[in-house]
Amino acid sequence: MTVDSAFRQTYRKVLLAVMIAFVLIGGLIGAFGTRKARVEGIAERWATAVSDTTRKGMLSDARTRVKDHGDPLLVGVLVDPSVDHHHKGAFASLEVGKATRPSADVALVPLKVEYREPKEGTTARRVLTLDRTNGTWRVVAVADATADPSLSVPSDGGPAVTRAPITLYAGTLALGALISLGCASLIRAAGPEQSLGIA
Amino acid sequence: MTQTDELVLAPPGAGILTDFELPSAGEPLDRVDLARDDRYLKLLLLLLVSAAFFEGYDSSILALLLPNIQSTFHVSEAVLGITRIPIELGLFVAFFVARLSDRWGRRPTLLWSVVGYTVFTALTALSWDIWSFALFQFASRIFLGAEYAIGVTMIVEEFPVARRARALGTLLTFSALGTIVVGILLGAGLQDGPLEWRSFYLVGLAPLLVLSVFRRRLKETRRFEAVKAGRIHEEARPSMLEPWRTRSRRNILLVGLMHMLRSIPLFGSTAWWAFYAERERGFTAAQVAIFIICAYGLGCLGYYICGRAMERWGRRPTAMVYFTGGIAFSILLFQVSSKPVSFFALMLAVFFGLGMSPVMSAFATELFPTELRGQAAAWIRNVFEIAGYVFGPALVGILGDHATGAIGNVGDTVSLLMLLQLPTIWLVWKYVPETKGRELVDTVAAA
Repeated sequence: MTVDSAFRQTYRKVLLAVMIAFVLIGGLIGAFGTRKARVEGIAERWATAVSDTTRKGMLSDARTRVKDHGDPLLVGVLVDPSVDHHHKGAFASLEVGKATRPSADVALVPLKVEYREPKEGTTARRVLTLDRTNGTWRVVAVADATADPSLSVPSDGGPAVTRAPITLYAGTLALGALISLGCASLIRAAGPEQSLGIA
Repeated sequence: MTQTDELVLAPPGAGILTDFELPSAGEPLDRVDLARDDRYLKLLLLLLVSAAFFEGYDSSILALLLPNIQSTFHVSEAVLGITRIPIELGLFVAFFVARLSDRWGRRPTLLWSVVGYTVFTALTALSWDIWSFALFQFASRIFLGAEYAIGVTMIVEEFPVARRARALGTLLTFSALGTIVVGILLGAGLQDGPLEWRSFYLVGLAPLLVLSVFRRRLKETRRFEAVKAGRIHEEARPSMLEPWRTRSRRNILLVGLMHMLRSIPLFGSTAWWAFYAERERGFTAAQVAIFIICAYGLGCLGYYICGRAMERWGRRPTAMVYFTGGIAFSILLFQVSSKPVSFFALMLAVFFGLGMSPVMSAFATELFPTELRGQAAAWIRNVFEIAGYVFGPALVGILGDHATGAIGNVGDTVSLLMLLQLPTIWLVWKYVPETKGRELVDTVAAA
């Protein structure tokens, strides 16, 4: 085999490996991705939109987003209209917790927000009620938080919103072993060990 | 080890796209009078550290202000992740722009890179949606990457051998300082000002101001002028594909795969930690800032200790310990809810995860013959490692999207990706030869 043909073969193998890597990553995302929106994600987006209703230049857009994910009348429950927010987002931070499902089409999502005004650091804990209609979740009520620990956000000791199952960790380790074998095959196929640039 | 080899082994900032090909070795530097006076060298270093500083600064804005940027453009985590693909590809393009300095000269290419970086950074502050933001950041990264790479080349060409390593070290230190300054500005609440996160990008106008003052005092490198005038002979560089034609292809594949497997989880985690801390663990922006300043500052000791450890105990054991520590403490960081534990986990994740750059640089250079070292390092950093920049943050965003992601949270996504770094430990143990205590020699004759 000439040097050039060996080079061409290696080059093709590398190109093939890159393409396989792209397909695998795309496949991984496609296979494990979900088109259904999680109820906690919808609650988080709604709360973010509520916060944006006090931001300069964002009012119209924020109102649209609030309307998309819930009842616009609920904004007043979370944001006091009499407070001057200085054209900034109402919440300095927000966190949602794991939803509980009293029924198949109703979900309760804990929410913790930290207000920016009138005094930064003031926190509020609420529970959002979401209702599923025609497959779409929407925020329909906001209530004060209860003492129920299952309705707490993770930073208050509540459960994480989602948890990767242990089987996924095991599968990842198995994938790691496969990657190791693949790397070993590629390295061996690239040729014998060479002497180094050292003495 | 020779001075030249020390230069090649100087650890680049994590994943920084630098063309570490040294200037032609056709004519030894000592034979031509290329010395500059001290005053000019100090000025040059002052001008070049701004490039290094903004390299660290710019990358950190995106990582530390991700929740704010998401909030402004109201996009999902998946979209945030996907936009990182074109943004980070700018660093790949930068490599080719930096090479234009061989034709146009270092000075004009550097000056135009500063102008380009400043213009696009200012435009980033004016972005109207996530896609305009991505476009401006892509262009800004092209010029920033080129600016940094040309800065390294100018130091190599202008500084005398005895002072080169220290000058390069200063450059890298300023890159790390850029991250810490973003943390300080975050802690000071700059993001709460009228321009919000956009103010951080306007700080990027500073290099243009510095340049407008010192532009006339910046000179073309004497080596470049000498080569142009034919006073020294510039050897033709080997083709970029050359390492793949030779028996080096095994090592380039080995070291390249190690860099890629390390960089995907590493850059996935660094890009998303602040977001994770704020949205999934309830940190405030001020707490994120304090964590970054303290933990990052202390964690940077990892660079120094790694350099000492690889000389004392060898490259292989140092790499295996650092890989293990990086994986373990990163998983801990993205799993625990206790803030004190998070603090120490962040510090140790930085210490091991980012701190292993010196040993990775050693692998990327020592395992190749002299005549191919520059090309091999360029392939490893600019092709394999760039995969981490591009895919790491994108994968975390897509899989960890709170509403539609397959995993649904950033913490578990990063933890799972970290497990995929385990094969690197096995690759080091099984295939990487130990190079501790062995001198680099020119293997051209041997080849």
